[in-house]
Parts: sequence; C-alpha cells; structure tokens
Amino acid sequence: MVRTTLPYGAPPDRDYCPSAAAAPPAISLQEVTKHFYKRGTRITALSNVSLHVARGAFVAIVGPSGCGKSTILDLIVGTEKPSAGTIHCGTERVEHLRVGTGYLTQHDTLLPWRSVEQNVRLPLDIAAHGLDRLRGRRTDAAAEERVAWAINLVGLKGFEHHLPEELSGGMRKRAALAQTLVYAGETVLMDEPFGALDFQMRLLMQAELLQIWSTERRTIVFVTHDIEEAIVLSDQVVIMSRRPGRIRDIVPIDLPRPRDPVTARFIPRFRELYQRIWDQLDPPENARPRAPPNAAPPAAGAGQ
Amino acid sequence: MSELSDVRLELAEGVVRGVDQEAERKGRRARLLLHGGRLGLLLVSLGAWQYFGPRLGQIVASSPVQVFQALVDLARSGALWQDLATTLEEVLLGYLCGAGAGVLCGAILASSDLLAGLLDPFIIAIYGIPKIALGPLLVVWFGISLAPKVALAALMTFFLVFFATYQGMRNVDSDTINAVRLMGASPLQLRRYVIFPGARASIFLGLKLGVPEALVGAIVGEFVSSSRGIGYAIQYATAQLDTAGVFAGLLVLTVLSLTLNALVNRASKKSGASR
Repeated sequence: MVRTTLPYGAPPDRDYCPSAAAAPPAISLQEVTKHFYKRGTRITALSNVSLHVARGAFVAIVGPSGCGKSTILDLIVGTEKPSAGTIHCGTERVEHLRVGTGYLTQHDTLLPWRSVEQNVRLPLDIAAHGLDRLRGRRTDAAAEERVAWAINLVGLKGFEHHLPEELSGGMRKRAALAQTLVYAGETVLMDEPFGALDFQMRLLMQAELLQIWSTERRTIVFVTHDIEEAIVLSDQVVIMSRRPGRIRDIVPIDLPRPRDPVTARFIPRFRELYQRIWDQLDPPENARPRAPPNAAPPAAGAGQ
Repeated sequence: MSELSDVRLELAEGVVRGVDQEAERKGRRARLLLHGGRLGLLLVSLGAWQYFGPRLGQIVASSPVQVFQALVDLARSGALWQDLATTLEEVLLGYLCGAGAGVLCGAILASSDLLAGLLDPFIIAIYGIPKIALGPLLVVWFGISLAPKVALAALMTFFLVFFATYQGMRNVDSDTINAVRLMGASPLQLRRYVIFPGARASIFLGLKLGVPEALVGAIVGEFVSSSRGIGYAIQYATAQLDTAGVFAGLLVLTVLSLTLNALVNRASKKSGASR
C-alpha cells in the first residue's frame, strides 16, 4: 500500500476522521483504484493511490502520458467513480458530480455562439435562474461586476464582445480561466490547461495563474507533463508512475514565492528539483532506453 | 510582470481580425459578376427553350411564351389562386406538424438512451418505407379532403427533421456538457444553454431540407385523390395534353418552394444558426 501525506496541514493520522480533524484537507484520496474496461479487457488506470491536498495548496501532478493523471481529476470532480477506495472533498464524500468545482480542461469548452463576456457570465446565468432570481439573490449589477472582475483579472479587458473563434488559443484559455474563476468554489482542477499553447504564451499564462492564485488563494490541482511548469507553479509535485498509475514520490517545492516563471528557472535549486523529479519519472511506453540519469536536464529558461 | 503584459496585449491585438477594404471591393466585383452570369444563363436557357420548344412539338415541350400565357389565363380565371391556397394550406400544415413532431421526438430520443435504443430498429424500418407508397392508405384512413395530404406532407418532413435534431443534439461535445453541468446547470438549463444552441445548425439544415419534402407529400397526396390544388391542376392539364398548363403548375411550385426556403433561411439567420 502506498500512503502518502503531504506536509501542508494534512493529518498524518492513519484512522483519520474528517469531522474530527481541525483542518481537513481540501481533497483526499484514500487507497483509490480505478479500472476501465476496453473491449472486454480490464485496464488499471490507478492503483492504490492515496493523496491529500491541503486547503489553499498548489499541487502539480506529473507523469508519463496514460498514467492516470487526468483520471485523478475526473475522480475528484465526480465524473468518474473509483473502483475501490474513497474520495473526500473537505468533509464531504465525493459520490456524484461535484457542482462548483472549477475544472479547466485541455480542450476549451467555451460556447462558440457566446461572446467572451457571455461565456464568463454563463455560470451566473445558470445560478440566477428561477426562484433565486425571483428572490433577488443575485442582482444583475452584482453579476456584471463579478464578470468584469474576472475578465479584468485574466487580462481580457477590451475583448468582452469577441466570439471565441475570433481569439487566439491563449486568449481562449484566459476566457475559460475567467469563467472557471467566476463559478469555482475553493477547488480548481486544471488538466494540462496550457498544453496547446506555444512556449512564450505558456510562460505568460503561468505568470498570470501565479498572480491570480496569490490574490485568490484556492486549492489548485494542476496536471501537466511539463516538469518545469510543475516546479515553477506548485508547492508540491506528485510524481506518478507508468500505468497502472501509482504515486512514486511527492517532492516539496521550496523555491521562494512570489515566483516569476521565467527567472525561477535560473535558481540553482530549480535544477536540483528538476533532476530529482526527472530521475524518478518513467519514460513513456514504447520509448527507447533513456540516457543515464546524470545527463543534464534540458537548459532551463526562455532565453530572455 | 508588466513587460509580460505588454507582450501579451500586442500578441492579442495581432490576432483580432480586421476588415480589409481592398478585399471588400474585390468581393463586391466578384458578386456582381456572379449574379450577372446567373441572369445570363437563365435568359439563354429561356431563349433556347423558346426557339427549340415548338420545333420539338407542342405537346412535348411547349414554350416559355405559352407557359406564361397559360399562367396568366389561370390567374385571370381565379383557378390559380384557389389551387395555390389549397396546396399552400396542405404544405404549411403538414410542414409545421411534421417539423414540430420531428424536433420534439428528436429531442426526446436524444435525451434518453433507453428510448433511443428501444425504438431505433422501428424508426429505421418505418424510415425505409417509401412514404409515397402510403398515399392510397392515407386516403383510406383520412378520406379525400385536406387531411391525407397534410398527413403525407408531415410524414415526409418528419423524418428529416427528426434525424437532424437527434444527431445534432447527440453530437454536442460531451466535455462542454460536463463543464456546464459543473457550473450547476439543471437538465433543462443544459438543453437551453448548450444542447439546443449547439444543435441549432443541424436542426435548421433538417428544416431546410424538409421544405421540398413537404411539397412532394402534398402534391403526391393531390395526385392520389383531389379536386383542388396545384397537384390536381397539373394532373388535369396532363390529361388534357395541355403541356403549357403543366409547366405553369411546375413554375408555381418552384416559386412556392423558393419562398418557403427563403423563410426558413431567414429564421435560421435570425436564430443565429447561420450567418
């Protein structure tokens, strides 16, 4: 059994009872196993994964593709059910879709017929429906303000009335992020949100995300295959093994904050952390044997 | 950080599409040429018909002038308006019933895997029947008045609209659906905000393709048994070997079809399904 407890406020107690604990972790997976069935054969995506994420922590999950990283997010959000084990968000056990969990996926899910502003406002339109609207629980002025705040936060001011197809990939990601910030409660899950962006745009978005996270402390679980991105952003990097996915190690990232995604890469400690994570990372399936582990990691930084 | 923001804004502005006046002027010329070409083609065809038609024989081909004459006679006698009103009523009623039922059934089946799975073979089987073959049966069921024509027109329209709605709603991206469910959308809100707007283009395509189908239904219904309507007029003219009268009827049907098509197009544009 692999049992791993994060250093940030997660209770080390084995028979941990959520209601009795002083500060329950925002998310906790206990001995979670997940099987999928494809054409009659059973595929084990996750095997005995236990993970606790403290409130307000930024946790990155890295691992070779197909190791079940995204499955963890699907389980936390409740779109998939575990084959064994339990998942809690706060004190509540996850059994159905967890409405209000922010989930920024790899593909953007903006509605193409709605402008940026209308897309960002969608969660509020949904919330302000029916009885709530009659009771005046959310006045239109408050909604406008919140939408404007989110659009401003992601730097899309001036593009409110553009349709998604009129925006670049990076701007669409920002719009999706703004939408997520409008409806998300404490937890935001991100599945390779910047994977489709070019390197420069990715750096900009990382800076943006850190900025937002430092003002709006939410719990973020960030799946990526990019080790540099994981180190630059997170408090802990969870390293997953190849399928069946297990947690191989959890590396605390002790780089000082606030971090700049560009310059953080030049800190010597960054390279040590990179080396440590790289050494533990499985090569992707069907890959040729890797160069010896003491080979230098790729040169860091954006050459600026 | 601020330097980064500047770069970001520059990148962003470069992406937004601008309107190029040069390109617009070129586009206008191309459109003019296209419309001129179409008009020319029409005139050449009519001229050829007028020239060769009488040489092929009066009964075979008639001629544009004679068709026009027949049309004027029909309009003067008032028969044209009566026939047109009859057929229009059949088509509109049939189309609206068929399209309405098609959207409704498509929406219901797209929302229920159980129902869709259960009914699938039956729908395919009924779809496989040439609906025209049902004409005589419908007359037995509904008599010889308006009803059988409306029923046939509705039946013809229904399947196209049904399949278009069903497929359109099924094809809405499941990631998007999940994302909006996470925002707390109820099943009804999910349909209102995501699934129906997402299926809009597909539904309107079905509605557009359904227009000529409804016409086919009404006309075939009139062929089977009737004493009024454009279909009846065509049949009557054929029996009299009045080819000009047949073409006059066809011309009226063409205009009717184009008009209905334009109406559906306008509705489609208004709803934002197409631009």
